Amino acid sequence: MVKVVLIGLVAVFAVLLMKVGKPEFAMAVSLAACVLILLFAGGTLTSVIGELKKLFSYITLPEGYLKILFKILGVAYLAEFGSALCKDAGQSAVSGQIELVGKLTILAISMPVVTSLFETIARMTW
Amino acid sequence: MTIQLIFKIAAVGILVSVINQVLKHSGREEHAFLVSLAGLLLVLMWIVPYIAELFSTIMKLFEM
Repeated sequence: MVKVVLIGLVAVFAVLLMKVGKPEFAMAVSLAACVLILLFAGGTLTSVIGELKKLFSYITLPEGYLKILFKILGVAYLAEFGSALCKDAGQSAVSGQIELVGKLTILAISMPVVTSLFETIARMTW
Repeated sequence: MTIQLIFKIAAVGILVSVINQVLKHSGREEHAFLVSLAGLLLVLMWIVPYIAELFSTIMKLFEM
């Protein structure tokens, strides 16, 4: 955890150093810092997801829903990663588009769950 | 290895801006632009493997 904070601080100093002269290098440094910090988080993320899978195995859930849930997590994270980086670089239009596409893919991924929900409701009422 | 990447990028950035100043004052504008382009490409070449590794771990992790 300490390493992550240190990397973040060093990267911020490097970005501020280069923001005046070379803004594109500042963007490169912040991109590198984001990528490195997340690579650190990979280890803890795998263990958390393993525990989650174990928890889900206790309740009888149709196999597809768990996969959909994890896919939505991944899409949400990637969309947020890209849009935050674009907003940092000052391009809020591009980051808005990335967020919009992220929301659309999440909606598309979760379509089966919604349809099965309405099917169960329809079956109950008639 | 991780923190060195940020130091390397910062070093290339500072070096390129210094070289640009020198080239600008000596009157060669297009060389200055070429130097900064080369510096940027070098930095991107360093970062791309890390980005690829990050995206492959995310794809594998979330089974996308």
